[in-house]
Amino acid sequence: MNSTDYIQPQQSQHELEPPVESDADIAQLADDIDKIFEEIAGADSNKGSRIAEFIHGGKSRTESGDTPRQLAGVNTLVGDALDAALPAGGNVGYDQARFESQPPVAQHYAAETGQPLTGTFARFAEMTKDLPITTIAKKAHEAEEVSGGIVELAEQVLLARKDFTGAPRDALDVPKELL
Amino acid sequence: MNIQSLVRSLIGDMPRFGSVKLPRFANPSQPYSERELIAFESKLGAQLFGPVPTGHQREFFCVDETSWIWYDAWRENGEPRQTTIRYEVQPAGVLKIQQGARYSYLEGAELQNFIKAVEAYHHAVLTKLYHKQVATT
Repeated sequence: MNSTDYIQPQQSQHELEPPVESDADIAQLADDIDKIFEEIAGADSNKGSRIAEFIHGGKSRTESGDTPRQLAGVNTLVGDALDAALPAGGNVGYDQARFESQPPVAQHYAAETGQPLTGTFARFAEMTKDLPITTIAKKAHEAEEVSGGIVELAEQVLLARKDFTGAPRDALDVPKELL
Repeated sequence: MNIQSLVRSLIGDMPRFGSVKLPRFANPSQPYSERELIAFESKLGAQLFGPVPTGHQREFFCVDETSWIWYDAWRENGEPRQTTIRYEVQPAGVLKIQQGARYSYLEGAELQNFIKAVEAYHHAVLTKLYHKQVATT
């Protein structure tokens, strides 16, 4: 390893406000999206799975005769927003390109209903105004993948640590520089 | 601040950290404790960031599945200085917790550096300390 290769995770220790106040942070945005998905999915243990299935699974709102909100099993502002954002009426199947062209659902909700969004949803609308909903969902998914990878490595370390916890000293050949 | 008081100050009395044993070298006749193993890991972890400057004390270690600690202490004009960072791995990203209740999610190069540090720690600890095979991708 060259001296220039050393890792410097402590760099850029910029001081940010607590994440609940940090509007520009995409990871926080992902967290917000997750919460919204959770609200959409209600008590479903696979939070967000039902809405993700709806968005990505190619379901038609007319397949079951339900509105998107009913498909998602919700009765929330976001449910209203979904109803407003997706193709209306007729036997129109899920259209990825058309959905991509729609403004983010919360914004669309405001446009369709003329009602102001409040709290989390207002912030959601502001933060996502330039992003299509599928991009947001993708970023949330990417953050989850990164975290999952880190947790997986940590679990392997913890398993190895557990193997030697309580082990006799001759069971582990500790490098001299660590002693 | 030694590593025991450091970890205590960081994890407090939170129940989920109750099983974490703090590094303290035991009687040579005793079996390895978790705290000793963490101390060994931390020595390897500290080396990932280049040579530790004279007079500095550095620690970098994995607490549990979702928590990592980075600590650096030194003297400046005779005054003790120290920086402690706790990284919490959450589904939404890696939350960096600094002293003074400063919170931020890692992003960009800093996130990539943290990921590299975790990968390097995983490789160094498994191969050099625990003598495990690590699959290469």
